[in-house]
Amino acid sequence: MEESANGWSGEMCRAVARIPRVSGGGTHRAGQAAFGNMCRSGRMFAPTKVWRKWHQKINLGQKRFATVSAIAASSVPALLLARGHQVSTVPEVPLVIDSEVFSKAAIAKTSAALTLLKGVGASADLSKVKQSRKLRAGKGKLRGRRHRQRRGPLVVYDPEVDGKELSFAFRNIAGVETSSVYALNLLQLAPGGHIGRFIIWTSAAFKALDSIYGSTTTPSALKKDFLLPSALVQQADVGRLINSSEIQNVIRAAKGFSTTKRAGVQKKNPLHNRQVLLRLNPYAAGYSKDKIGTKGLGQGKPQRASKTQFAQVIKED
Amino acid sequence: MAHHSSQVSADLLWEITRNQNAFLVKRAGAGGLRFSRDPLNLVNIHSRKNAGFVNDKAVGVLPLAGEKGGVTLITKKAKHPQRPAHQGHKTNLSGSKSSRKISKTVAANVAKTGYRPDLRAHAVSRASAILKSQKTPKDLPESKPRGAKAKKAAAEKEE
Repeated sequence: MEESANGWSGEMCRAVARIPRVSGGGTHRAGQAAFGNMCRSGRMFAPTKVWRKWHQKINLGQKRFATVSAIAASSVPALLLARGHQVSTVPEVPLVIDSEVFSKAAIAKTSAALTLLKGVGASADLSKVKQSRKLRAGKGKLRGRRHRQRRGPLVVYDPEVDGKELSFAFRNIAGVETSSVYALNLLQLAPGGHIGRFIIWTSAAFKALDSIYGSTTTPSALKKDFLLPSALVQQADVGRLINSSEIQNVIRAAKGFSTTKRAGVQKKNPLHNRQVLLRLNPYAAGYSKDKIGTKGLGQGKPQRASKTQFAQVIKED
Repeated sequence: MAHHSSQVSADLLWEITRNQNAFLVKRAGAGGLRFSRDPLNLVNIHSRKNAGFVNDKAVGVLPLAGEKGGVTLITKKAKHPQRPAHQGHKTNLSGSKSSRKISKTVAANVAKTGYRPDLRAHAVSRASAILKSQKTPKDLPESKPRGAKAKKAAAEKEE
């Protein structure tokens, strides 16, 4: 609805809210408020600008670091479990399938792809995705993001060896994504910023990793000036570090003796804690061993006082 | 805990996953509760000691399906960290055995061999809680009326 409207005129005595209003007369629309975010058919508040900074530039070295870290994390079963992948039936992580399986477009149909995934124990992850599919809350439903669902395995292949047909086979299986090993995407390797995506490699793709990313000593064949980042610490197991001879040799011995009283410990109740009882009362050991507590006096009935010498003495007095 | 051939140490894994993982249940109530849904976590509390998916050795006690009940004891094999399918060692302890015997087996498997002695008490108490939940509860005893009510009941019986 296009109307010309006066700007707010600034007169205080109209007894209406100070908002641009539709000019003219002859229709109900005349005199109604226009344009504001609170108005019918008005614009939204602070409309999204097309010149917003939609993307953030990240340094190439950092992007490469993130990608190789995500690939490394995908080979740790614990991180896969922590991401939520159902991998307890998977025979090995990283999971590599022989490229022979994909040769001559053998996996070009969804049914073939499904049997393959089932064979490698990925069906638990697939059913998790299937059950997770939910209608999205909010306006996103109207904007091409109708459903929310979990992510399943990512199939990484080498298009030169495996062909591209396999991507057609996998594309209709919920949650499964395919990617060429030459175009790995960080959004697929670590969705939501959480590393440990369940990746199914073809053997050709796994082999190609060496040439694409190189190693810590040999530079990458395809990326300019890139070496794999070397580990900051060789040994990240804290318990092993502490118990290593290198550290044990240089640290001083623990202070005090075996009998040193430790400060700041909970006071133990000697009635409940036997060791504390014995420390306080060494007689307790013999007392319970000989069962003195349950023996009683063992003399039968006590003598009446009236029949003892004691009573006689009193009487005499 | 003895270290085996896993490429990534449990300490590093814990630092990566301690703030966010699929098993973690965070609630704002009671000062920020942190629970865990990990099947290899005996007390369901999110902590380094109990995080089964992180540690090389971990214990899980799950209910055993079937008429007689019982528990399944899962221990994690530290030998092949890269093979998830071979990682769990399952022992089914049928509910037809007495709970004392089951507790004894659980304690022996968890602690006696030096596997995870620190988890013995947790494993036994979880097993016993599961076994208790599988019992059919007894009916409440019939109420015995006393005083005026008893007289009334007796009078009614005579009539």
